[in-house]
Amino acid sequence: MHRVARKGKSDHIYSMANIISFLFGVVALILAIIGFIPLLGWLNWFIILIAGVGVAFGFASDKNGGRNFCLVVAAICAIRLWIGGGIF
Amino acid sequence: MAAYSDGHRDINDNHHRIDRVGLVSAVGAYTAWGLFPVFFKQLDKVPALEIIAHRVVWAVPLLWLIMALRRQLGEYVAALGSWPLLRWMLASAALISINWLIYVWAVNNEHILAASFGYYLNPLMNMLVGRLFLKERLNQTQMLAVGIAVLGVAVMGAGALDTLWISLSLAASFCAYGLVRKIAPIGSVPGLAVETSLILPVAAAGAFWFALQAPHPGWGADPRTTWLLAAGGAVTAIPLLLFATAARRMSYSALGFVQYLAPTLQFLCGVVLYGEALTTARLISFGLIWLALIVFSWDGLRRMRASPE
Repeated sequence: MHRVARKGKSDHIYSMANIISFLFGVVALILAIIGFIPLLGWLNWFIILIAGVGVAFGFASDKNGGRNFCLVVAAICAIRLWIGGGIF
Repeated sequence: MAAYSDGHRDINDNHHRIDRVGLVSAVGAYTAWGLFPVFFKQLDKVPALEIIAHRVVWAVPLLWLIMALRRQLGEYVAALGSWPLLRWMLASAALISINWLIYVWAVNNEHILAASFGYYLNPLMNMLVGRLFLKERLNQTQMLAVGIAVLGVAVMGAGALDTLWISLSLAASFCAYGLVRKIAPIGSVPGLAVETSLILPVAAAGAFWFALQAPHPGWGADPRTTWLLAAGGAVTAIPLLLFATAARRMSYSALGFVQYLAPTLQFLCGVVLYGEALTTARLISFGLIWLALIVFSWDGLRRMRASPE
């Protein structure tokens, strides 16, 4: 399927995946700000999933911007989770 | 395309004989769905929207794991990059969300019997949809079964009009979901993963919002409720996975046949476990639906015996 999709209107299709990837990253980042409040660290478990889907969209695109952005957001969530021991 | 995830079989083969894996998957899925009321009743203090949000949130990582094990992450990523396919998946994601929401709400508001009736109607709708969109043909006996079932709906409409909308919207949304999933060229598991991924931002934000309300009967209220909400992911992913496998391996009409298992179990849950009132009108409606089922099954068995395999 990958090959089939690349053949046709690939530019349009793949930049669309990149845009969606960025959108997932932005939503995750906004929620991550709430997740920085003390005792709300556990919320980052939800957010890291959104960033994860963003990364998957990023991989679907031939551009790397969205994927890298979502990886950064996921890393921020991971660090915040580590600080709070996954809960606090 | 079915070969992607379902054991490299030729899809044309599937319409001509009963596929054993498909049948076992279908029975497993409908048994699980039939027992759903028992699970959701444990969460009857929790808002239906929050239950649905958690079902989506916890299904996503589970599906990633399943896809990693089945080496399907490539197909999932490829689907995310295909805009024409994503449009179908957006539609199926919307349909399944509506279906889940109405169902959970119905169970937790003492309307299990109405939900059960909806799922009895579903096979009838599948037959009609199979006839209209997939050019599957109905014979006279099947027409008779459809006619009896329509009569059952009419009686239900006359005797229990206030809950008929629950039955009809559950049947219609699930039928349309099955149809979209049958058309969309994607394997069972990646398909469900794409759907839940698309709903995830909304679901996670919803789960968030509910969790931050205090005091609140849902997430974080007590360990049991929290674990049950998280278990919603597995409860969602596993039966739907089985259904999706079955839907791609069996003919639409054959799938409609096994489908009666779920509403029967739901019916028993509603009447025996949760003591919902079985009024005369309801009893007649269910009787007509069961009669339609007997006619339909008899026809199905006759045709199975007639075909060489």
